Amino acid sequence: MSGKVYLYPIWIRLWHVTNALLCLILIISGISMHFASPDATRIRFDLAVSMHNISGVLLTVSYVIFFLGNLFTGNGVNYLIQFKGFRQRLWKQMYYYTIGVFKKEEIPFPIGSARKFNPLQQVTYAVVMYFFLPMIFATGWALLFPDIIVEEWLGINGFAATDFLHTLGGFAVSIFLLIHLYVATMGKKPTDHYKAMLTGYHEDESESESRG
Amino acid sequence: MKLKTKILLLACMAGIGLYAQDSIPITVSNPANMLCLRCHGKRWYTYANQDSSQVIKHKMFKDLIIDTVAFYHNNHKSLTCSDCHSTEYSNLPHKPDLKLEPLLICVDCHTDTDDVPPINFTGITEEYKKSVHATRKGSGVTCWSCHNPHTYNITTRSKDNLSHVVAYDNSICLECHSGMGKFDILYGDPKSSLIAKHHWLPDPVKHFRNVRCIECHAEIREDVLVAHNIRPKEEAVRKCAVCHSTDSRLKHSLYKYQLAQERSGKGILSSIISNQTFAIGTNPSPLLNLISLAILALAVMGIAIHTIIRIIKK
Repeated sequence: MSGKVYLYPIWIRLWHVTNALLCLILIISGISMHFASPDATRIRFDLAVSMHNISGVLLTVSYVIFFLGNLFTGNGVNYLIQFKGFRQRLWKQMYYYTIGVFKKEEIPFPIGSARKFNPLQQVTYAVVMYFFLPMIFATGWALLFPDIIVEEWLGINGFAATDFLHTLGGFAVSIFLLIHLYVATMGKKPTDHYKAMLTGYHEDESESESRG
Repeated sequence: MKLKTKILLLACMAGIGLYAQDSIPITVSNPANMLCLRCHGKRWYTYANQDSSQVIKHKMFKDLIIDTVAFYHNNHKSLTCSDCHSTEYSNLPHKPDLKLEPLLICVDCHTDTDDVPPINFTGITEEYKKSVHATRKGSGVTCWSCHNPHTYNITTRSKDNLSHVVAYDNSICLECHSGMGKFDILYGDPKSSLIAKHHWLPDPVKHFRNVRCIECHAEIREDVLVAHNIRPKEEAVRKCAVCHSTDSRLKHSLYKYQLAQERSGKGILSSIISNQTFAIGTNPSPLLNLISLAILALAVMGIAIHTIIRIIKK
């Protein structure tokens, strides 16, 4: 398959779509609970709680699969940041997204078999997957079994603090999802990245660049 | 115990021919009550027939036993028995017509106070009169059915820990409505269980631990600290969002006292940090909501502008 590279094996694609759907359900049910009101026509509270709990448990399972997959298949290498010169690379990528793309400049870090994520993706995915999601899981499971939460620590209400961190993590992931969905339209064609996530094959940007 | 008190007690006991037999410890706080508690503080009591010198032992009727430890820890511990009961009870054996003695009710002694928020005993009485406890034929529920004057402790205004308030207040309801005792016998449903009856709640046990029965089963009146208008079960709150929302019902009931105290005595920040009044959906901060919405709006705006420029520059 000339110009295409098999970047996303089936387990990643299945994990990715499961992750996306569960996150959507969690965000919708989470917002519904956060702004619950007896008069408003939102999702019924008990239904939202069930949706949120079940999806949360499934997302944890999905995360464990992702974590083990990264550990044993070598996919985790993509998340490892080479700190030397990283700031410059990050800046270059941000420049491209904000200015370069409009000037039809070359993609600074073309995706290919050697590089799956650009520096901005790398840092964002690492923060979301290894900071915010674990924080959401820890606080989410604690809220599922509130007996384990310390009632008060240094004058801080344990339940309120846990809920706050959970909501903060959820909000961060929501904003990430919004931007992620948009940036995914920035392939050669708006649908290219979406198609790649369905088929597993991504255009080898590094190859086309070298041919060009 | 002082020697003088001991002599006084011994003299009292000798005079009426009574002496203690069971060794249930009695917390002596008020010597004036000893005369009564010698018998009413025990499951069995004995007395000597002064004519025959025979010692007679009787089992005390369950409802007439006073838990002396609980009594000297309850809110009425400073009172003597004769403050509420006829002084004629000091004559033994008691005269039968003393049983017809009209019992006091809470408002015979308690009047409205200037507490924040006020207890409002007048309001409580009005609310009680509207409740199923008063209107249901033959219920026979009086103040004392729930608030045993010999053991009662007010929790809402005196304990910092809300879980204690919940456990204490719910135990009052469970005395009759536990689903395993008197309630089942009364209504002929031995298999009933509170959890089964509340199966529609996502987690009944969690709710029982964190909110009082009256949160859903009593009608709230703003000027009454603790709701006393218990409604029929058909009228109980069943919409989760009534409590799990910004204007949560809990803020007008269980959290009312805490919130009023925090508003009157503490700064805004400390009341947010240290308050115990937490339930999912009840505490979203308007400021944080605004910041979140602003960030979301910026993200959406950024995407929209980016998209437009992409289209123009295509």
